[in-house]
Amino acid sequence: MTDSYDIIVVGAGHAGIEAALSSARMGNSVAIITMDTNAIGRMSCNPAIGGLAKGHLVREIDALGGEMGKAADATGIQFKMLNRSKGRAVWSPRCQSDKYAYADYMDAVVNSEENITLIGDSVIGVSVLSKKVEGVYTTNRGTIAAKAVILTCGTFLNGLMHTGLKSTSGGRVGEEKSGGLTENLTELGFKTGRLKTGTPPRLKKETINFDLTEPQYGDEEPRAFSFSTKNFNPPNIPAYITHTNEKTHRIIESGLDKSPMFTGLIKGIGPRYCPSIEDKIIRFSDKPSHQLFLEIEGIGRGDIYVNGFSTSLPEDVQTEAIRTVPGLEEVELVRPGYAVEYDYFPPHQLYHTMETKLVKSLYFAGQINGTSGYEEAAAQGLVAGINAALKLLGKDKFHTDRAESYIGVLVDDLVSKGTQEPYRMFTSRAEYRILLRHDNADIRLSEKGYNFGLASKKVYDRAKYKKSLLEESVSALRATHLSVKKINERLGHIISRPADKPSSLLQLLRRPEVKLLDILPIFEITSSALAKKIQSDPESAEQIELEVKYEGYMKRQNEQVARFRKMEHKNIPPTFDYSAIRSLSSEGREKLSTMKPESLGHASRISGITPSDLSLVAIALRAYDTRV
Amino acid sequence: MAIDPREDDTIVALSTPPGLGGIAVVRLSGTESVSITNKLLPSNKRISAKSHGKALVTTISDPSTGDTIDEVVVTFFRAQHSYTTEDLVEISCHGGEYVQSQILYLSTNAGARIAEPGEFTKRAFLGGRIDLSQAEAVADLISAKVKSAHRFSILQMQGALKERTSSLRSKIVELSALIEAELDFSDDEITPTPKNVIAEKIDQVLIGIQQVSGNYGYGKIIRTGAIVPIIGKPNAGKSSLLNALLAEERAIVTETPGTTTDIIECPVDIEGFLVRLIDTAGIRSTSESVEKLGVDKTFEQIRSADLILWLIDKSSPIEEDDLNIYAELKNRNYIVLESKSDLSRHKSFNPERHDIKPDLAISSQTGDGLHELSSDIATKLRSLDAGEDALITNARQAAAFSKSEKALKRALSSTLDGAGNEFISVDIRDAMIYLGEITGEITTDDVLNEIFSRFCIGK
Ligand SMILES: Cc1cc2nc3c(=O)[nH]c(=O)nc-3n(C[C@H](O)[C@H](O)[C@H](O)COP(=O)(O)OP(=O)(O)OC[C@H]3O[C@@H](n4cnc5c(N)ncnc54)[C@H](O)[C@@H]3O)c2cc1C
Ligand SMILES: Nc1nc2c(ncn2[C@@H]2O[C@H](COP(=O)(O)OP(=O)(O)OP(=O)(O)O)[C@@H](O)[C@H]2O)c(=O)[nH]1
Ligand SMILES: [Mg+2]
Repeated sequence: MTDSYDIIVVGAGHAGIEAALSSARMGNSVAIITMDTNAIGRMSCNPAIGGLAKGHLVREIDALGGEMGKAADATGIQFKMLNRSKGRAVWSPRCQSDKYAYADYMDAVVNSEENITLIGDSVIGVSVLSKKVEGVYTTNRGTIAAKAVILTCGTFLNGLMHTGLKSTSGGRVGEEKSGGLTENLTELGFKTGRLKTGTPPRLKKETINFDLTEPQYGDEEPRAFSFSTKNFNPPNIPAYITHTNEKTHRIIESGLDKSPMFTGLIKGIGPRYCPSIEDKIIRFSDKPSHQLFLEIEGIGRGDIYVNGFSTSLPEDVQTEAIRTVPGLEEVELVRPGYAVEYDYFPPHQLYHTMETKLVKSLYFAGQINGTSGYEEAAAQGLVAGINAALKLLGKDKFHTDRAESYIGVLVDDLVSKGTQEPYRMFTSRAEYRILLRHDNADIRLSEKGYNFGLASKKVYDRAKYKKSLLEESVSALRATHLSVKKINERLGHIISRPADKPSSLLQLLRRPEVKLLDILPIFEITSSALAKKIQSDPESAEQIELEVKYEGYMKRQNEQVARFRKMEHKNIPPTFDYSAIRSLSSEGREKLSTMKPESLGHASRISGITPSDLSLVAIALRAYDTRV
Repeated sequence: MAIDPREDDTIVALSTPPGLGGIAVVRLSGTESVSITNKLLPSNKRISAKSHGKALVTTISDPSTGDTIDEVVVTFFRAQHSYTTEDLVEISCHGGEYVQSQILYLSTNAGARIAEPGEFTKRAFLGGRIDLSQAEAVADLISAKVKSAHRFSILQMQGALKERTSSLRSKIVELSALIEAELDFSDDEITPTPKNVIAEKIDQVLIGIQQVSGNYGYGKIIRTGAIVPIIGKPNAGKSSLLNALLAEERAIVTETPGTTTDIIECPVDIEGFLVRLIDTAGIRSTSESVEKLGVDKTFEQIRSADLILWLIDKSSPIEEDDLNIYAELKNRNYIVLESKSDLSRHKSFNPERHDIKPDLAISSQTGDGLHELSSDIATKLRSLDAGEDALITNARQAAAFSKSEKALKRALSSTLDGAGNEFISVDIRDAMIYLGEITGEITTDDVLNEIFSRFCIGK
């Protein structure tokens, strides 16, 4: 075959898109090989982007120069900042999307990228020569050569869909499964497992009585995902809330004998945070009702997504049960809910770059690694794409750690802990949560994105400006002192108890009842230019306030980070020989040899590794360094 | 998260074999060793990071209470010029294990970490002070020590401490799940837990932790013996009592007051307790320097005692010295013994008038009351047991409990101040990690598991 590319990306889902775009934009010729070239960037499940912790991922993808945030901004139909009732440190953006518009947007971006060639075919194997990838085998075109291959096969590998006791092979409704690739990779030595996920039925919009439901709108002042979106003025189309009841639950219970999950037909493990309605009813039998959200899948389209009603019961049971719900008495299904089982590759077989340990220049990203969710997939795709490109350019790898980003937490969790159930991001997975906020994703990451040639100069400049304004303001607030008299005169109506000693504006701002806005007029007297800058920049004002109010906690987290980083920077070479360390425990030796941790810190997060194992490795490492 | 041997933090350990009597050396190594040591020293007698190799006589005290622990000699060795090639501080203190473990304990409170077996040597190797063959010997040593430590940890695993710690920790996990669930799921999915309920739950765990750590003292008694000094004014019969209880002539007995000038420590088994009886110099106000030194040491013994035997001599008057001693015993655990019961009562021996109530009359000569004394000692020691099965037996565990307690206290005050869950969680997590160091359990996944089992989550 004459076909040859720098990089082949297999799959055009959320992972595949980011992988292909980033590596192409970094100057490589990229081929996307995907089974259906009309199915680019499809949302298999929920027509929404972002959400708690996932919203953070999208902001980080954007700061690095990925596409997801821009696409979401362009095609969202309602935007909402979640957790607004809680502290700013845990706010997280979400939008509902017109999923058709989203896919069209992605289709256009991919097709207009001149370094990308789109090929419709099915990949059935990877070609490997002396442990390095050489290309892929396809059903129709035979071998296609490449210097690097990124697999982003989603839920398609030996996909098996279930509705009731009926199962059909396929990766997603209406799309074929991918066969042969798992077997080929297993032969190469990869370990594989099986997972499961599910989706709710879609309803015909015109058969719903929305009067019996309660509309729920997005924010009046929507916030964009992308740091480069300007003049943001998206629609605000409501979702509709309704509820299940005892009757619904009885019908579902009566259908359990035909449930592929409860009869043991499905072997793969499903996500606990995304339980099916049958699961919820069994496990929380004391709950008389569950909330459902009816979400529009696309403007001007007739299908409605039922958030909260994921199920794989037989179609007639689904219909009967859902018709007990207020507003849905006469509803008709566009398509029943279903569960899908698929192969995945436990991700401890990867390095932090997403490159496999077994085959050089072969990368895995997305649901193939046992994750679930568009955002998780996109984040991995971006990491894989950037790294594949950097490697071809002969540059240092891209690594973002747990203290820098949610993406870092995601990748590190995957490669060091593996996963038994579909992995989803949660804010509680991030140890340094209050430092990793959505509002400072650009400060944390845009420099890297800019250096890769992905993030725009505008975004990077803005991040630099935000950072310096923040630092300057904090130190100026610290340096501005007020006398007791002045404090009580100017802030007496705000502060809960009168001042008895002079304080700096910083100290005053730390009081819970004092807001930045309250002290800005005072600040303006001494630092007028700075105060004006803050005034005209609400985003920075929020950050300054947050930084000051929680300085103590931030400081503690920063100390924790410093400790963490010291261990992270002790690299372990991939060729490191654990069998040469005599006193290592046998469990430790085995785990370390298979997991090949990249640093001492990484090793410490592998389960079963003891402190004494780590000490021994540290000693041996030093000996290794002095010998080399 | 596994416990990591944070390579760059400051470690502390006893560098002479722990035991009775003599001088012991506690060493700190790492960038913070000077600042940590200085936290335990009086502000006018601290070491300077410039005074390499100079010895400084000073006192160690507990910064939280101000109690003096010991008079010590502190020496500082600058990085590159020390064994570990890091900043290193040596604290030479008096023998008693109580004093040693207090210094270890206070150092960990001030920010040091108890060293892993062989860790000082490891650092010496990493710093290039010793060569590979030496280091490999150390590696073997580490694994050998770890093996025996492992046996101990298995024993402990079956024991109550692990169980108790686990149950406290799982309470924190539950608490953490309540806090985290609100952050990870929207209000539609989860009803928030009121802050006062959170505060109450933190408080409950705190009480549990304090109960266990309150028993550290008893755990130490079980493992290393009870410190029981015999005190009284000169000639009260202290040395005689020691000999009588040991059934052997260990201490010199004379008619001359002031015979004993230095302390003598003798282990003896009393109803299954290892009791470390300590004969002391008689207490009286004196200007004579040798004797004064002895008296000072006696006062030190009183402060670190688990139980004090105070002798008042029936054949002599109650004097100023007795009253001074009595004042010193306030809030301490002691038994008042009317000694020399075989002799007749001095006409000015009137303890009642000074509100002193003898618990028992004894005679070292006739053996009168000695049986009762043994069982009284045992009873008193048993009463130190806070009724906890869980025993903290080493300074490392005590440090973990103490850090966990501090973190929870911070969490409690943040909660009461109305801080957001994301901030409360910073400390709750810390508390969980510290207790996990004792039980070897990991964190994040536990919390998520708890959330999933408690809440009906997911749309
Ligand atoms: C039924 C269902 C329910 C889901 N439910 C949820 C949920 O509740 N919550 C949630 O967060 N996420 C859910 N998801 C997951 C979410 O859709 C995915 O996590 C995300 O889309 C994964 O992105 P990806 O890029 O890894 O793979 P996908 O978006 O699945 O894309 C895979 C791509 O690879 C192509 N491909 C696969 N194999 C080959 C091959 N051999 N040759 C050529 N092309 C190939 C496919 O054609 C496709 O383009 C669900 C998915 C499905 C199917
Ligand atoms: N009759 C009688 N004499 C006792 C008894 N106990 C001690 N003596 C005597 O009291 C004197 C002092 O006894 P020591 O045991 O040396 O007293 P001490 O408290 O150790 O004295 P210093 O070490 O000098 O403080 C000695 O002459 C003992 O023989 C006792 O129970 N009965
Ligand atoms: Mg004596």
